[in-house]
Amino acid sequence: MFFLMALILVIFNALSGGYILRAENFANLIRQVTVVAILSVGMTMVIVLGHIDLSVGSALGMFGAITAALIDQANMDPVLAVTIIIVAGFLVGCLHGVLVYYLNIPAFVVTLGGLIAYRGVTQYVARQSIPVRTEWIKAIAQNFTPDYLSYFILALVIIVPVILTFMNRASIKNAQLPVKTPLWTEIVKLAVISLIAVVVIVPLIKGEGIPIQAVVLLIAAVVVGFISRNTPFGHYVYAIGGNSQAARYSGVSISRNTVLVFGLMTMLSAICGIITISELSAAAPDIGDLKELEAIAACVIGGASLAGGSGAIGMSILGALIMASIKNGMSMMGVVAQTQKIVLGTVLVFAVALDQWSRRGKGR
Amino acid sequence: MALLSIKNLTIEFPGVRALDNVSVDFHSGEIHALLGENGAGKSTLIKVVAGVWPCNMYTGQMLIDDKEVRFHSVKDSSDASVQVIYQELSLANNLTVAENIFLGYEPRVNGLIDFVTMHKRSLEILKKLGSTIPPDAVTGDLTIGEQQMVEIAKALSRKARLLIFDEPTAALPESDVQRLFTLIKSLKAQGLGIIYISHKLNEIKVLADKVTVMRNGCVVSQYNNNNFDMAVVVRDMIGRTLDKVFPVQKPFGDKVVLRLENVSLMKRGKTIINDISLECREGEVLGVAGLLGAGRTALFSYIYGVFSGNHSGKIIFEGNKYEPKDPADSISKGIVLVSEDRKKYGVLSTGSVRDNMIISSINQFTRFGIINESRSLQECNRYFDRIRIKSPSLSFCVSNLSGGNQQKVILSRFLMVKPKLILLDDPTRGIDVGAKQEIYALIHQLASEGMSIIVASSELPEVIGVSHRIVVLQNGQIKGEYKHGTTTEEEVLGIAAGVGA
Repeated sequence: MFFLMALILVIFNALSGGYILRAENFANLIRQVTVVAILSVGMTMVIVLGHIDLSVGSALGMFGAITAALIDQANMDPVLAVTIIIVAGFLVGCLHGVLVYYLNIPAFVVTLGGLIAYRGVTQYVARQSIPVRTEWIKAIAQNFTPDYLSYFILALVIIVPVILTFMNRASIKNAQLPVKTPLWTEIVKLAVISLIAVVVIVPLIKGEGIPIQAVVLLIAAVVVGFISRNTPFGHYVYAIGGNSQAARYSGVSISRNTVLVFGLMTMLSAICGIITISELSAAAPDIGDLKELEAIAACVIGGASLAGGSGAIGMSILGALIMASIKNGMSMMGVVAQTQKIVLGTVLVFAVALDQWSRRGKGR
Repeated sequence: MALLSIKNLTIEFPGVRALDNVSVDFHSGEIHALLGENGAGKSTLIKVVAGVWPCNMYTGQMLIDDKEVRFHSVKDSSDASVQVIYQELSLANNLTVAENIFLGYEPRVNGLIDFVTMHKRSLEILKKLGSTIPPDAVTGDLTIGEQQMVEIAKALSRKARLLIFDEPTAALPESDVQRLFTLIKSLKAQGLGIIYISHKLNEIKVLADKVTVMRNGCVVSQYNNNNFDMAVVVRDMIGRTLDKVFPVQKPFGDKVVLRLENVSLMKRGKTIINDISLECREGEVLGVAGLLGAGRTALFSYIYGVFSGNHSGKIIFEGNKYEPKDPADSISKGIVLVSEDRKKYGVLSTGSVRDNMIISSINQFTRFGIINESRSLQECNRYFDRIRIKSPSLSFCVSNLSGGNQQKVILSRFLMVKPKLILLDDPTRGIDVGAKQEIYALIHQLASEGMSIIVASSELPEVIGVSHRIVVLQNGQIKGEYKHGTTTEEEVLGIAAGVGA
């Protein structure tokens, strides 16, 4: 599946006339994808847990608007404002989790209520667009990393997977177990990752650098990805999503993990809210609109099952990239927005159909 | 002419060849038993016959009445008059009994579902099976035994020339088992072909006309009822002779680990457990014998902290008063429960073998919040070997394992938390002779290491043979207590069924 996705990405990029690989368009593409990708990181965990979060776009808008208002209208120190918002994001998410677990309200319903309510808050707070003047906030979406940092990141992106792969193989050998995947497969996979990294990052460096928001995405992806695979919390989330009764009987705390997953999701939404107002240098009443659907689409294209128990953060980000590439490519080709939506809807269904078809024989 | 003829059937899944060039014939008016250890291929063969694994997944042929058939789905096989009653039931729990029986084949009147006829016909079928389950009961509220009855009724409501039973008596109470046998024999007399899969060799001896033994995906031998020798068959199944089924018991000490004092459990106004007191010592294997509905599972779920009713009485664990809270709390105190319904409460179906094994003990391998991969793998490996789990690897998807091996994985999960008291609810349900013996040996090995084990089972020979001491539960009360070797199956059954005093 991984290879298939990477291939689609490359092909589509090439098909759009090679324009994609121009640095400025690249930076553009990355900007378009970052918010959805960060949201899909959190959404993957929610979907794996067996739930869904529809409030994400509205929460993004609400927290973005409130941040802007706190700074511009309440004259709060920006650092304080951002910190408060991120914490508030986490707490609001925890509230979702509490309602879902303790009151047994389906997540769909709780977050649907959030979607509606938070949009109302956004439209009220930002009824007149609020300007964002704080330099460092604007820098998040509008500025780029200096060259030395860009090269450092490139090096990390290439070297860290290599180290992790070999550490993984070492720990399997240590346990005196046979290593299942042949070395050459892993090397090819690492080579593809490195190739993609170079193809993506070098043009950026030659241009203005890596957009800072992309660095935020990278950090979020790495941290949450690591947590989902290497911590008990991660295992518990997959277990609960797979069979919550069995997880409960195994001693897993459903309450705590549910609350944490929703808290994480809304916290990431808040962060995306800040990135969005940075992008626009303002808070508008419709920011974040429909972003939850894009995030869900990204996860689903990435292979996450809405029944819970399976999904991977890297794949969801890839899903977001595919959608953004297709959108970007169509814009380059001059396709109007309305047609783009038709195409994207079709691609979504097609991608999942492909995934289901490839799974059909592998045990039920 | 054979009713169903299977020729050179081979089917492979990633990492395992589940059926290897299997050829076997099934005839009308005949009860043909299929025997084999878990993983031998019996369930896979049935899934092929039933169309669960469609024709493009295997090589070989299936012929009905000497004409080749290719099933693309379960509906195809059902239309070809092949009906299966699965070990893992396939009912919609939110629908009523009548709706489940006629699912997909509902009687119509003017294009709409004819509920009256559906109710009447369900009543008739259930009555023929000797069951008093009301057709408008919600299926999810029934016990496993009752649900199985509905499953059988469902199969019989459709046109059936070949009926396949996959471990049908695993959860049926004794009285229903006899009724089922009578029913199966009458179906055979009516000309149906019956394929019967069971691990209970004594049942096979009573029922089967022909026996086919499978091992590792191949057909090993075939017998008729008159040349059927249990010992030979067992040897065919496991490839070695079974000496003693139950291991020699080691003595245990005096230290009382668990004591229940006057425990009563009530749910929705009904008294499930009525004033029970019992003790279990360190190193002791205590058996709880009782029929379905006697309260064994309720008692266990209470001790483990998952009982959702009212309770009274005291539990003293390791000398301290113990108030059951939830599984996490119980595990931390050293009490674990291996539930009777592994599909519902045991297996994490989307996970690998390793994920399923470490889920309760992750904290043992965690430092600073990060899991130590190699230590967790080493530990899993140890239990993998010790409990002899048959799986291609630790990263194999657990839902592709046979039922018995899944049970072993779950057992390992709870052993990895190094418990002091192990509650086993029907631990060998749906598990073959060879694996059963391994589990009995394991139980006694654990007991000799100082663990206390309480085994609940409705398989009387098992509970009598493996326990140091048994208590007999009847309708929520303890009506008898025996030390190992001082009672018989008949005596215990009498008490469990409430016959005599």
